[in-house]
Amino acid sequence: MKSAEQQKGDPQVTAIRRAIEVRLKARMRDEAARAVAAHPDEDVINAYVEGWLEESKADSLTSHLVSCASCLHLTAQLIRFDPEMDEAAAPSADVDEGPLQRFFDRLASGVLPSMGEDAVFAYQDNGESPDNAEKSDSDANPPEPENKST
Amino acid sequence: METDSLKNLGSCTAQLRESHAQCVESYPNFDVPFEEFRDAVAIAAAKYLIGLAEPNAQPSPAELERFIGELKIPDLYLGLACLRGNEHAWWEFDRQHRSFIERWTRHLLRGDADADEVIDAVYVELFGTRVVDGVRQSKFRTYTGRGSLRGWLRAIILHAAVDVHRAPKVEVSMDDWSESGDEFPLQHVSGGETEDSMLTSVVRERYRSATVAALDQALSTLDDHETLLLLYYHVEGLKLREIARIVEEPKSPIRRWFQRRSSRRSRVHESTVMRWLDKVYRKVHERFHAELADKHGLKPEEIEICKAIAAEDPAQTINLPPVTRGGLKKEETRSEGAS
Repeated sequence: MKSAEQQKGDPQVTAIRRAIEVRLKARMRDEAARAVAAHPDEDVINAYVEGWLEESKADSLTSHLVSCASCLHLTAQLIRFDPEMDEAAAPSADVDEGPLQRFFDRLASGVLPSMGEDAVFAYQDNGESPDNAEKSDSDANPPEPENKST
Repeated sequence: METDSLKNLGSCTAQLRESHAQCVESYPNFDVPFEEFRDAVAIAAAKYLIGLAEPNAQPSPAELERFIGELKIPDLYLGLACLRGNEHAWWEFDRQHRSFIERWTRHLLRGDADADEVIDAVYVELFGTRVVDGVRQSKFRTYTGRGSLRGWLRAIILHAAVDVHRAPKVEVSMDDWSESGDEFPLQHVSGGETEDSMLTSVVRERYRSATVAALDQALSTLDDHETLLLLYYHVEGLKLREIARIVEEPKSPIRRWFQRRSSRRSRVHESTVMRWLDKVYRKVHERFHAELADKHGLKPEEIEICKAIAAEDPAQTINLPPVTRGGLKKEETRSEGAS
């Protein structure tokens, strides 16, 4: 369908990737035809895509996504969304989000004192901030996921 | 009162009051009472925090404090005011989001004339035209502030677009094979139903069943996250850079999973995803092969046929060799397209 055909290499891999694609499409078609009792609402789906779900809730939703064609499609559409369009559609910068958003932005960035000494904000989890992520960009070697079966 | 379901929310009253006060200061015309604001936060916390560690487990004061700190308070406050039908809030909502709603809907529908219909449907849902027990059923009632209002709107628009169009979400050719034997192309035997062709059909069905079972078994050994990424790539058609982006996103659940499996925390880009996919393909291939050999007792030449069947282009058919009553002739088992 896309780069799959461009990646000529091991014929065994080429064959199995084609097999996987055909099989997964057939399975999701079957899933689409099957009525799913309950779907997560837009609030949960968006929280998942934006990364705000607690780990156990996120894992639970991941399990739902691999067996629900419509929710899979919805999350894929949200992931595919071009952030530049969001920015282009935003109100002009001088009246952008207003003083309230600026207050909470400053609060979240630590410029303002927090309401409680132990307050922790999302971006501070695990010491993983966008800044830290930027720093890691300098690492020339991308990670190699471990094969959990080995 | 919603706060009754959360035992520890009282410990966050000061935090909630300060947040509410800031909202009131910024938007004095929105008229959202503190009690309503607090109840909305309680609903959000109950939805996302109760039962994390074990069923019905209550969040601790620290968890609640962190959760409230993560909420998109200005978005939530705006949503609550719109839910109340506050005119100033709706004006502000329009100022912040109207152009985005129109722009993205038109982008989604690619100039389709139905775009206006979808935009109208979104506003109808947001405002809520149904009244149940005296309460207007506005879509804003479902927004908790856990994610951004803009992201939530994207999901609402997508649903509205689907509702208007009712297009099939997974576009798979009807010729694609599936578990249903009737839809499997190799079932369609051309010409007369000779004894040989009937026998060939029986053999094909045997291989088809083994192929589907072995491939499903191989895929079932993958972690859900691995399967999800395969689905995004192969079924939804996400590009490698789009997959890399979600793995890069600091708070992405997929990134958390990816990093647990990696000893390094460096940048993820297209080649990383490609290498990861390659590993998954090899893993599935090995298990697929082992299943066919060990569980189904197939010989190497029969496994090759199964591989060809699994990867078959629905537009083509694989020419199976003539069969004897004893099975396939060994020297004739190589099928077209098998690798």
